[in-house]
Formats: sequence, C-alpha cells, structure tokens
Amino acid sequence: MTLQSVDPAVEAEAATRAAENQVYLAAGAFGTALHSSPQFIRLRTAGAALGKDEAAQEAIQAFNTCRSGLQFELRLGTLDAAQQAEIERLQAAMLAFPTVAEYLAAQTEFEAICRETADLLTNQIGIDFAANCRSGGCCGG
Amino acid sequence: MLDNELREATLEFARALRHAPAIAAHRAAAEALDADAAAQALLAEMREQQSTLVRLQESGLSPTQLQIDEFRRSQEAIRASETIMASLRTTNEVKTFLPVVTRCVTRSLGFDYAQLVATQSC
Repeated sequence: MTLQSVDPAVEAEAATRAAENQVYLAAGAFGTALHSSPQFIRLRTAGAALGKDEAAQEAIQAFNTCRSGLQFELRLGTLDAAQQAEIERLQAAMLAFPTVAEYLAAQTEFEAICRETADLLTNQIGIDFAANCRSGGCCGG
Repeated sequence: MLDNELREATLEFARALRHAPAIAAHRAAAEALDADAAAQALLAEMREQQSTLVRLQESGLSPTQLQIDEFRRSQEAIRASETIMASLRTTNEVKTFLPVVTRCVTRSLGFDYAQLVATQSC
C-alpha cells in the first residue's frame, strides 16, 4: 500500500471543480424543469400549430416584409400616414389569426415565467442573475 | 406564478450557485467592501472626480493639471486597495462564470435562457 501526499492546491482545485460540476448539473435540471413547465408546453404546442397554419405564415411574412422595407423610416420615426396605415393593417391582419395570437400569448407567458425564475435566483444568490448571465453584458456582444 | 416543481428546481439551482467558489468569493468580497469605510471613501472620491471631468468635457473645457494629478492619485489609491481590487476581480469572475452556467440551462431548455430574461436596458 502506498501513502500519497495530498497537495493542498490540487485538493482546492478539485473542490472547486466539484462545486462547479454541481452547479452545471443543477443548471441542467433547472433547464429540464423549465422545459417541462406548462408554460413551455403551451409555447411548443402554439409553435407547432402556427407552423402548420399556412395562411398565418403568409400574414406574418407580409408584415415582416413591410417592416423590413420601412426599416429606415421606422428607425428615424419618419413614417408617413400611408406607410403607418399599411403597417397597422398588416399587423392587425396577422394578429387576427388565432394561431398567431395564441403563440404571442404563450411566448409572453413563458418569458414572464423565465423572468420570475431569474428574479428568484437573484434574490437567493444576491447577484443580478439576468444582468450577468450573458457574455459581454446586456447586449451579449 | 411558478409551480412547485419549477420553484424547487430554481431553488436547488440557487443553492448550488451559492456554493460555487466564484459566487461565494464575490459575496464575501462585496461584504468586505461594504464594511470598508476607507475603500468606500476612495470610490466616492473617484466618482466625484469622474463626474467633474465629464462636466468639464461636456462644457468644452480642459481639466487643470491639479485635477488630472488628483484623479491619477485616486486611481493609484484604488489600485492599492486590496478590498476594491478583490471586489473587481470577483465581479469579473462572476461575469465569466454565470454565462457558462446559463449555457447549461439553454442546452436543457432548447431556448436561449439569457435572451429570455434579458434586461431591456439597451
């Protein structure tokens, strides 16, 4: 039998890795719990229904094309009345599809749940989780 | 409103985070900084000098040599403060660690969690 000396630095490093691995496991379990949440299931269901709704897809496409075409005016706030009316008409047409409305409602609900979990994490660890969870700050650069 | 399962998973995640060396070190450094009156005074002085320099710049004026020297002295004093430097160092460690952890959440979820909870500050 051989007695091995324990290097304190190696031991500390091992303890750090073990604690970090616990965090990664807990993070994975947390992601899985979010994935199983009623809010995420609603979002997935809504996404699937929207994917099959060809008329709704066309309405979304029309709205996005219009917005892209007017991107410059939208940024500068220089839309004229006709352009504004056209965007509003296409947006209303898109939102009139129940599949679109349901998807947006499900997305809003899921985002709210995610923010609630981030707030809970912030309260528990004493560090603003949402503000620090992206590389490069809030813009993710 | 979080259901029990999600709330428990969130709390378990928070418990693991609290024990992570980067988070524990940051909390300890933040508490030490709060308790260090001299370090707080240095930071307050630096903030005051910075806002003075910004005001001068905005009004098209140049700072005097005395103001520049004072600002440099403050910078040196801050660099020499172990409490402040520990706080900055551990803050950077947290900013490196949390995005890595969040990517684990994103992989399990299949959606970018960081994007979902992003603060709308910019």
